[in-house]
Amino acid sequence: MQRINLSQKAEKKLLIFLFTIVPVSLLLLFSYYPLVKMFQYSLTDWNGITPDPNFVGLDNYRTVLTNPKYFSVFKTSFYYFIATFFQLGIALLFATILSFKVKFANFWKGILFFPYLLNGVAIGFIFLYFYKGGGTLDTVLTFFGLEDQIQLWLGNRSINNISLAFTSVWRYTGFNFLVFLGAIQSVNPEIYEAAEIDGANQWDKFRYIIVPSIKKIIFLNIILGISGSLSVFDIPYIMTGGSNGTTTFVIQTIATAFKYNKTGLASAMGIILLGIVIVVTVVQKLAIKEER
Amino acid sequence: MAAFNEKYPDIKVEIETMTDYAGQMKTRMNTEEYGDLLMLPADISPTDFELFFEPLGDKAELSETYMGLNDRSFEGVQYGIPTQLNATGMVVNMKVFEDAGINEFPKTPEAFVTALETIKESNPEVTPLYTNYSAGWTLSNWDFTRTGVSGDPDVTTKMAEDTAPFEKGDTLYTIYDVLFQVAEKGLVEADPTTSDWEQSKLNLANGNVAVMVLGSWAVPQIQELAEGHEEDITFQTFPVTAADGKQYMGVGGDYNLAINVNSEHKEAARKLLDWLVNESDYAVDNGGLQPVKGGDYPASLKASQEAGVVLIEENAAPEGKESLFSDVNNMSELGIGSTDLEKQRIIDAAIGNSKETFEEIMNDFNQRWANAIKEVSGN
Repeated sequence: MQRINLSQKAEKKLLIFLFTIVPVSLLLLFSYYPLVKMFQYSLTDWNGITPDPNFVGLDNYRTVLTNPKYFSVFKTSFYYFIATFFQLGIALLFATILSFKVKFANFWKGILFFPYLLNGVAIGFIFLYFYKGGGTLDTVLTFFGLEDQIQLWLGNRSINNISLAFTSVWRYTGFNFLVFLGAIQSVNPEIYEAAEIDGANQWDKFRYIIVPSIKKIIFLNIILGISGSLSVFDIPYIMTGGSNGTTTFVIQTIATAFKYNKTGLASAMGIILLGIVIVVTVVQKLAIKEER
Repeated sequence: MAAFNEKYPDIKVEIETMTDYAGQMKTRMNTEEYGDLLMLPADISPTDFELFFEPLGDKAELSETYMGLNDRSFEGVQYGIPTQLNATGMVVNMKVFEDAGINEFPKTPEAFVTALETIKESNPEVTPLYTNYSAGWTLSNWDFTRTGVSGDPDVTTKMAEDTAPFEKGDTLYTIYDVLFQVAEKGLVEADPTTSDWEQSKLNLANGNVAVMVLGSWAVPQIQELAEGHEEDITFQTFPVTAADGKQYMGVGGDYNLAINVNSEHKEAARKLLDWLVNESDYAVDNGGLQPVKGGDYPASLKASQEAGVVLIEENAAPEGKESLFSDVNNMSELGIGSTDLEKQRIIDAAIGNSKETFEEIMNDFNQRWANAIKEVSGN
């Protein structure tokens, strides 16, 4: 058998091609192909089963954008958006503390990151029992003699979204924490030493060294938080099923597609959400560019 | 299955189960591989039957032997046979009623609400009616009681053309009104949002809950939990007496068995289907009526049979209107018999989570229903 001789450059190209073909084809098959299909469905009145749906043009988009019923659910996202800031604050606080010398640092890091590794369904059930009448939270409050503070954490419409947003904070803080910690640790330690010699205390170091050097990462996390809060799904879906004013846009899309069999309309809702997320991302890209 | 193989030793049956049958099956039906014999998913439009399922025979002929054929036929051809017929009504722990001094199950909505209030007063620990608000499918049973409540086998067909079916005095108004009143008077679970289906069955069996609105299939499950005092658990019709002074209880087919039109083993599948509906104990074990005419009443329904409740089966929609109700229902997004969201809305309003009044909700329902009829007929 004759060996095919390739120039080093061609070999490199071939290797890159072969290595990327797997992820790219997966991406095309599971992301772009469904997206194209979904766009196609969104122009029809398909009910999810029938083989010959009617073409309805942009009617579905008109329905979603003109009927306040479909858009008003974005106010639920507001709770999660506000929660994002608490989440970032807590994550930044712990990331800063743990970037200094702390005993058992890896242990604490593990604890903080652990919730992010848990499956969303499991978290939903844990917190369902936590908030339930007579559940963990109520028991703890009773133990401290705070019985009069007990509420229907998920049943009371004025606080149930806060309860759910708190669950989301608990889950995602670990992720933000890790991103922040990575960014903080990439700061050259000599700068801290220099600052110490100049007499800076911990707060000064945080204020004048850490924050400026990870500004971009903070901004990135805020953007992730915004697009995340627009597409909240698993926690409210599992814990309340979107009942009692906790519906989010994604839960509503699922109901439209699989409960009312309006797959065409739901596809249009999906495309609209995609559009909004793209806009947010573009704004982020532009803002970061300007800084440079 | 062992019993089936005794009769047909050459047919090898592989059973596949799914946790979210209704959801996953619809997706699978976009391919050709959806089993040989399957449960016909509930929301397939009758016009599409012939594309997916093998015809099982002439409806008129089959209806001499079987009951409950109406929902799964199209233009006189039958595509599915129900595994069993269920009645929809209330699973009741009669002991709780008797402890509160009520010896007979109420027959009118007013008496029913009063009875639940009496129960609550005599024992505040008891939840008179458990809604199973958060389970996501249980509240639909309230909708299924409509045939029995109206005593009219054409109630669904009529609704599909009524532009105001939620007026005071209408069937669904009456049903929802009971739900609203019971919730408003605090006769349901304290925190509906965290209700728990498995726990609720146990509570009903133990007498911590008095009533749940369900199908008759639930009775054996709850009796099993009420070991030693099974006779306390009975099945009653929705507490309404129809205009002619009689009480009715609606029965309808459960999931229908159907044969995949793309199947390579149609004959074997047909043998299994026939065996399941004709010979197996599936229906009786599950608290339902056998689809074969003249079959035994299950123990769960004997109590109401003795009380003189008339079982009533819905008539088929007239030709050309087979899918009208489901089209209007989907278009309006009211989810009658298919989703729980709008029933949850009624409970939310009743327990003060939202400021809507019952009349406002009913007006909204009427409006959405009327608009949906307009849109569907426009197409």
